[in-house]
Amino acid sequence: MPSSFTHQRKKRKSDTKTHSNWRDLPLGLLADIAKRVSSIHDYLSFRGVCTSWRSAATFDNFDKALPRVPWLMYAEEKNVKRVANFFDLTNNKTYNITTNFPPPHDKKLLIVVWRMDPLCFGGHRTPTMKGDLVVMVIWGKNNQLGFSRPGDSSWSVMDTWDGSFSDIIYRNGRLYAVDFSRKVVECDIHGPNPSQIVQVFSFPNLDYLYSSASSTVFYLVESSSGELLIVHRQIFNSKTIWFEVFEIDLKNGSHKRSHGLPNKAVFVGCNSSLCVEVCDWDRNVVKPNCIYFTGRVKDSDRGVCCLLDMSFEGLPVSDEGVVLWDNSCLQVSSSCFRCVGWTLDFIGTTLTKAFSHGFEEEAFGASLPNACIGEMVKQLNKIFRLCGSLALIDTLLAIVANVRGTAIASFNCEL
Amino acid sequence: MVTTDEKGPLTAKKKSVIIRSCDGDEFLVSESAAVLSTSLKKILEEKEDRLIHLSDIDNKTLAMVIAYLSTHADDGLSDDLKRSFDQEFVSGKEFDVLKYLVLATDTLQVTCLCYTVAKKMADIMKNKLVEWVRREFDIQNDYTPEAEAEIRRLDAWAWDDRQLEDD
Repeated sequence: MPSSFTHQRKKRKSDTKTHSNWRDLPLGLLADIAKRVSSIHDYLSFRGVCTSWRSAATFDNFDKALPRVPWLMYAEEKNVKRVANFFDLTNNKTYNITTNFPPPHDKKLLIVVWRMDPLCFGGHRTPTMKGDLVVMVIWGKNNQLGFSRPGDSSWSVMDTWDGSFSDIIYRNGRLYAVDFSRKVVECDIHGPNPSQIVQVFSFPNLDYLYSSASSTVFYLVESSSGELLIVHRQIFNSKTIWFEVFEIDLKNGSHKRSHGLPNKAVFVGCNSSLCVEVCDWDRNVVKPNCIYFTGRVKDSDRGVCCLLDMSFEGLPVSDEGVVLWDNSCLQVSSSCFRCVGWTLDFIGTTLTKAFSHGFEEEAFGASLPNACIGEMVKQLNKIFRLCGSLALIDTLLAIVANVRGTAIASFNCEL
Repeated sequence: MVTTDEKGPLTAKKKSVIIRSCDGDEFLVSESAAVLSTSLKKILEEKEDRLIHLSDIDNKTLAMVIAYLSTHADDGLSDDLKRSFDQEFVSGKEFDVLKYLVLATDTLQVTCLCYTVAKKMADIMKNKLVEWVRREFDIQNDYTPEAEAEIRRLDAWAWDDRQLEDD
């Protein structure tokens, strides 16, 4: 960035001899250093050193594009405090982060993926949600599809599909889902027929994979290099015994089995699936060619599977809680919920209220009247009472809490 | 001391410039190396001056920067070799040396070296406590007690639970 360097240089000219201390380095240089701090807690430490370092390490200078290891989030049954536990694979430490929302520990409502700005934790600022945000759900007993966008006044329900959906992702502006009979469908939710489901891929029969005592789950994953992967997880007597990864090409309907994931690791479980590039500095932390998997809360079926030799090992975390994936260190881009067994109405009334006001920071922070927040909180409260705290609701609360921290805090006390 | 070019008149291809540090030492640098610095390039384009005086870069730092520039200007070296040179270049250096280095890259506008040093600094601070950074970098804490308490409260999880790692 030559122009900024010129600028800094001009500024420096006058106070050339005063840089006797790290504290007094030109702001631009400090910012250059701050931008290379990859971990969020190191970044916060950086901000804590002195006032000039804090001015250099602005929220915008936190480089979200740097590759990061996903945190594992604990869900503890008895945790009543507003503390979320995150396990950091890079240093085997657990961070207890006080949030304004309760930790998830419900087993019925499954997924939350919230690509949240990590600096939202601790109430630093409201996540900025732009118009391209889409909330997608797999809902109802038959696992059908639905979605909602900021500004929508209600849920949009996809056309009824014969199959039952297993996983869902948002990719290139479209919604993709895979059902339990291995069909991949696409919905152009920004196009003229957003509720239309179009089948774009179907696996040939893989009979050898199935027997009556086993169950199968399919995950859709977009690899870090952009390919669409189907991860097939075979569970036998409540234990995962097998993984297989297929790379599929939607253009010509072909697929090929991947015999490994060189330099990549995949995370699947209750949350949205995730693929990360295993960088050199992460190699001892997140292993390449491996699938990290979890089950539902209270479910002990979790671990790491190496695709090369199909060996399984445990996760390097203590057994006290259930681990979910949290990709809070990724950029805000899209969001997706999977709610099995709940009706859209039930989860919808709450969410749509939030969405009808839009998630934009400005709209949310400035123009949303207190009454609306109150109403939303009431709805959330209802759901809380019915089924305990839900991962789904955590997300919403996180957003609301950042705007109206005090209101939520008092609301939580009533629970 | 400046070594003169044995081949006599400088050819257009192998031009050199002399760079003088603030302590008066002079360095002979090939033009191809010098122009990797945006500032030097600009100076060379503006005037025919073959002697450039840098009033705020000391001898030791300038020698390092020139070693860096010469390596990166060497077409005979592969990118891989240059990368490992970069890593070697910043490793094991004292923090003060790195500080003058990063300041020099700022003055001379050597973007890639600036990034290399900045990355090194970020790596040094990996998993370190605020107190460690303050002590090792000799930074005086200029927060008021109230301001610091507020920061600690906001980012409580970033402050506790980390062992002080002494190198």
